Amino acid sequence: MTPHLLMFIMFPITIGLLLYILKHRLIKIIAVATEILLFSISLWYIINIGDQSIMMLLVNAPLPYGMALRIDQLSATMLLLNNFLFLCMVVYSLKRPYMNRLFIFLFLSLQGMINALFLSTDFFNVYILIEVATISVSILIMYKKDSQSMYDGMIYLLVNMVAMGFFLLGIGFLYKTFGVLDFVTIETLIPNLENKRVMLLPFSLLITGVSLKAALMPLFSWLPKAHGTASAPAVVSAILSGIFVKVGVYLLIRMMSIFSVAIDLQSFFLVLGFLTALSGFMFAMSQTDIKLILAYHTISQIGLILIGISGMRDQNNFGGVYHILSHGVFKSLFFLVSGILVQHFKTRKIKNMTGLWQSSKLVSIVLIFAILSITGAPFFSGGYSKYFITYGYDNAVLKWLFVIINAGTMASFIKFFRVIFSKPIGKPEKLHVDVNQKVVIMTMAAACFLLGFGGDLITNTIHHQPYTFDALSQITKLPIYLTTYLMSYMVFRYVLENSKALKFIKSIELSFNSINLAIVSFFFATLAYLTITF
Amino acid sequence: MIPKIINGENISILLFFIGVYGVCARRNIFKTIMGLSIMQAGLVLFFLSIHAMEGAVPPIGQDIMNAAVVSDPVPQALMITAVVVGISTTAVSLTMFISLYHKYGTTNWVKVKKKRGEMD
Repeated sequence: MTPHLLMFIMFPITIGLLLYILKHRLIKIIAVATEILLFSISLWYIINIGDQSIMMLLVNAPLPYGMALRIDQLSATMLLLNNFLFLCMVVYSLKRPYMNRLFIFLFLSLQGMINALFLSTDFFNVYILIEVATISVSILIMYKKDSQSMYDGMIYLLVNMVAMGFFLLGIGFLYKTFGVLDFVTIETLIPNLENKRVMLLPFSLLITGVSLKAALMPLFSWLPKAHGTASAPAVVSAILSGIFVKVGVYLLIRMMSIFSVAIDLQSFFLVLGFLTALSGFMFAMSQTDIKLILAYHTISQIGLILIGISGMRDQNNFGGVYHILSHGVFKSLFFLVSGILVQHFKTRKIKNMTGLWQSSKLVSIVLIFAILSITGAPFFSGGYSKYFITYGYDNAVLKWLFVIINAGTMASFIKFFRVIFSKPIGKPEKLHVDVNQKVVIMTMAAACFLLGFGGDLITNTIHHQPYTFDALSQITKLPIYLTTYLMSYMVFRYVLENSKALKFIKSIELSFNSINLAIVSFFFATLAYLTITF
Repeated sequence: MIPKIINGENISILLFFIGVYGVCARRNIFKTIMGLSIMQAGLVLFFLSIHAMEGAVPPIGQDIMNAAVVSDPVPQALMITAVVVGISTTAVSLTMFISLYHKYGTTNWVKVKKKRGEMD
C-alpha cells in the first residue's frame, strides 16, 4: 500500500496547529514522533519509487480540471532531504529556550509547505505556497527580535514579494496562452503551439521570480541578510540554507524540463552559474562574521549546482542534483556548529574564536568533516558530487574556472581551520553540548561521509544511475586536493588576506531599491537574450 | 483606435510597471509598500481581463442555460486567493514597518541601512 502524498503536507501542519492549541505537556515528543514518521515515509518513497512517477488526484476530476500531487525521483530526493533536515533540527532544538508552541507551529507548517512545493503540479499552487512560506520564514528569521532583525526581515519579505509579482504575471500570460495551469498539460501543449515566440515573455517572467528564490548572480543580495541574520536561531538558518533556497533550484529544474521543447537556456544558465559561484566565494572570503561567511557560501554552492543542472551531459545533471543533497546536509551542519560556537565564545566574529580543539574534540571533528565535505575532499559528499559536476569538460578555460572556484572555497574556509587549531586565548573553557545536539551533529557528519564514501551505493541502488566514482578512484584525487589546498592557502595568506580588494568587496551592500532594480534588469536581460537567440 | 488600446490588459500591465517603478525608485518605505500593492492590483486586473468577453454572464445561477457566453471562472477563483495572500503580506509588512520605524525613527531605506550599520 502506498502512503498518500497528502500526508506530507497535512500532517505537519495539522500537528503543529493542534500542538499550538492544545498546550500539551508532551508537545516536544509528539513533534519528534511526527518528524520520524515523515522521514520514514519519505525513505519508503525513495526506495520504492524507481524511475516511475506516481500521481495522486486531489479532486475526483482528471488533470486539467482538478488538482494533483505528483512524486518522481527528483521530488522524492528533495522530500527525503527536507524531512531528514527537519527531523534533525527538531531533535537538535529540543532543549533550546526558543522551542515553544509558536515556534513549533511555524516550523512544522513551513515543513508542510516545502513538502507541498516539491509535490505540486500546478503553477498557481506553487505561487501561493511560496508566498505563504515566505511570510512564515520572515517571521522565523526575526524570531529573537535583535537589533538588525527588522531590517533583514523586511528586505527579505518585500524583495521576495516583488519577485513573486513577476512570477504571477508570468502565470497570467501562461493562462492566457493555454487556458490551463498544471505542469503536465502545459508540457503536452507546448509542442503544438504554432508560434513558439509567445512563450518568451511568460518564461522570462517566471524565470525572474524563480531565479530570485534560487539567489542567482545579480539577485542574491537578500540571501546573506536572511540566512546570516543574528536574530534567527541556528536551526532556522540551517533550514533556509539547507533546503528552502533549493526550492528555487528545484523549480528551475522543473521549468527547464517543461519548457525544454520550446526554449533552451542551458548556456545562459551555465554562464550565470559560473558568475554566481565566483562572486559567492569572493564575498565569503571578505566576511568576518561566521554566519555571513556561511550565508555567502551558500550562493557559491548554488552556482555550482546550477552549473551541474545546466550541463550538457547526464552526469553533470546528476551531479547537480546530488550536490543539492550533499550541500543540504553539510551546510545545515555548518550552521548548527556555528550556533554552538556563537553560544560558546559569545561573539560572532570568527577571529575571536580560538582553540576549539582544546575546548571540545567532538565539535572540532564534526567541523572538520563539514569543511572536508564543502571543499570537495575525497571520501566526502562534496567531493563526490563535484566530480560529476565537473565531469567531461575538456575546455581549458572552464577547467581552470573549476579549479579557481574550488580553491576559493578552500581559501574561505581557512578561517575555520584557524578556529580549531589556533592557540586559545586564556584558559580554554570546556564546551558544553547537550546529548541530543551531539547525536544530531554526529548523525549529520556521518551522513556527509556516507554520501561520499558510499556514494556509488546510493547512485546505483536508489537513483538507478550507471555512473560510478568508487573509493579507489576517489583516492587518486587526493594529491590534487592537497596541492590545491596548499596553493589556495599560500594565495590567501600572502596575497588576499589583508588586501584592499577584499575590503572593497566587503563594503558592497545593495540597498532595497538597487535590489529591485537588479530584479527588473534581470528580467529585461533574460527577455532580450531569449528574443535575440530564439 | 484609442479605445482599443485602453483595455483591461494594457491598463493592468501599465499599473504593474507603475508599481515596479515605485519599489525601484522610491526611498520611502511606506511608498514601496504602496508600490507593491499597486503591483498586486495590476495583477488582479490582468487575470480578470485576459479572457473577458463582451456580454458574458457570471458562471453561477440560472442564467447560464440561456446565455451565449459564460465568463471563465478560473481566474476569478485564483484571484480571490491572490487577493487574500496579498492583503496578508501587506499587513505583515506594515506591521514590520511600524516596529522598524519605532526602532530607527525614519522611513527612508538608505537612512535605515546607515543607522543599522552604526548600531552594530
